[in-house]
Amino acid sequence: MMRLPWFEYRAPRSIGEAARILAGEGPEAMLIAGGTDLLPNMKRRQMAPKILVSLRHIPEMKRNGSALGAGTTLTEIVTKTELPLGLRQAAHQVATVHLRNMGTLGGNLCLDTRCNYYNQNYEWRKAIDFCLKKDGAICWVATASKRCVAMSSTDCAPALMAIGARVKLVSAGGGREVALEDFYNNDGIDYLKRRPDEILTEIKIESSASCYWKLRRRGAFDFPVLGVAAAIRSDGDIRIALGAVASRPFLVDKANEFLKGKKLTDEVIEEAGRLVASRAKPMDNADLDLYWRKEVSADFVGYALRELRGDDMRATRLRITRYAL
Amino acid sequence: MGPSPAYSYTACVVEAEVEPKTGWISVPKIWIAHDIGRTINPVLARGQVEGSVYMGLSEALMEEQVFRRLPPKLSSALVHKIPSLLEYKSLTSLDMPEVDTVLIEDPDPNCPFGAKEAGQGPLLPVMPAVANAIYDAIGVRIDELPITPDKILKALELKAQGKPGRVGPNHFPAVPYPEPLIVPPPWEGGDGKEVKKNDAAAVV
Repeated sequence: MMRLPWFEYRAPRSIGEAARILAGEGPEAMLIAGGTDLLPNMKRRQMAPKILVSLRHIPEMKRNGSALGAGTTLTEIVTKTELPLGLRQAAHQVATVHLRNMGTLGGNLCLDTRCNYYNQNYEWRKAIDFCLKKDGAICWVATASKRCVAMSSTDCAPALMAIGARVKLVSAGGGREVALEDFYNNDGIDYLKRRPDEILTEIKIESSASCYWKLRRRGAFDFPVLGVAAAIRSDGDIRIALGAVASRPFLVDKANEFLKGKKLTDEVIEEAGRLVASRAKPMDNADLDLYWRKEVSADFVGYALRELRGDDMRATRLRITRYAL
Repeated sequence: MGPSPAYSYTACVVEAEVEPKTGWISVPKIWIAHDIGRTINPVLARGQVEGSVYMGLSEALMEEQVFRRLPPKLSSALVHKIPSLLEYKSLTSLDMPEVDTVLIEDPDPNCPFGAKEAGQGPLLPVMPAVANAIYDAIGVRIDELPITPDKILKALELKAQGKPGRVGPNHFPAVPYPEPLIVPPPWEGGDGKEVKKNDAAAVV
């Protein structure tokens, strides 16, 4: 049976207090919000922090205004119709209802990277002599790789990246704001540029026309094996962001450069799809055939740009996601 | 079927849509007619049949055991790629098609109250019906389960090259079957123990 390891639980009432605890305890302490990612990982001993600092009892984390509090649950995101559609579509396709009721936007952005050889219980990982990401020396996905290739599996990050979101990080020493695209490293182990003493407190977004398309095997409960987000910024530029095809979500600069100032004709959409597909580098560490996943990224870009253009994509969306938001 | 003393029969019709560019498969509706003998509890019996459709469709489209051979410098061992129920997928309620269930009642005199079974029989026709529906939709044959979009694209590509549009094993595995034992029943003169020597043609 998988049980949680022992830990000390702290429940600060303000961001300042939480930041002070983090500063005092050092890397032994970890933050917990909804716990939907962290607690199963702790049961599998992928991490065993001595202290958990809860963000659930901090009203500021739930703030709502020009910036979204990182503690806003995914269900709340879905129900707020004033939020950009792409973000709501992404939040709606995370896991299942129960997990969305607990999981938070900040938690989804900081989601641990995933891999077939990592997201297993301790005994199984021990049986294969562990892996690069945790306790081992070899990457079982790419045995010659010196770098961990675990996959970024957040749905909300590409959706937010496309609309140009910025995140605020607060530590005991002060705060800083970074564009979401600068928040991630393409490294399965060190995947966030967040320092251990920093708290992701809020996400600043501008409203813009946007959409998010997610590839997974089933209509619910699956992590993405490809996420395509597209948005029209206020200056008219179109931005495409990809998720789940690398250790980080990223803006596809080559395609975004190409799309600058162009009208979304069928030819432009097709070329953009080709450019994006050339940047998608899925690995053999998740569901579905990896060559197929790379191949269909162009089609998914097509769906996203057509939806952005105003085409009626509901039938396609229903076929692929089983639910149209 | 299973512990049932009787043979049950099931007919299944599957409606499938395949997107030719991506190979994406949707199954909007399944009709299933099951020969149950006599229905004792109609609600439970329908539930059993619909549960079989659920299991059969999961088997047809998702469930798979994948192993990966490690390179020789790392022991050449086979590593299970999907060792947990997290990645071993079956349908969710959102993936489940509409199911039209028909129970065919023809009481079997050798069975209790004339009832046969409804447990596993209705599962079996679902997979071939899915494969046939996909062939009907897009003209390629997938000869192994699960039927996935990448296999469909592969088969379409083969077909476009003028080769047979089939993907899957191309031969039956060489199984070392033993010689059949023939034990004649009493009405054919046997005592139920005697093994007739190796003369299959003599026994009709």
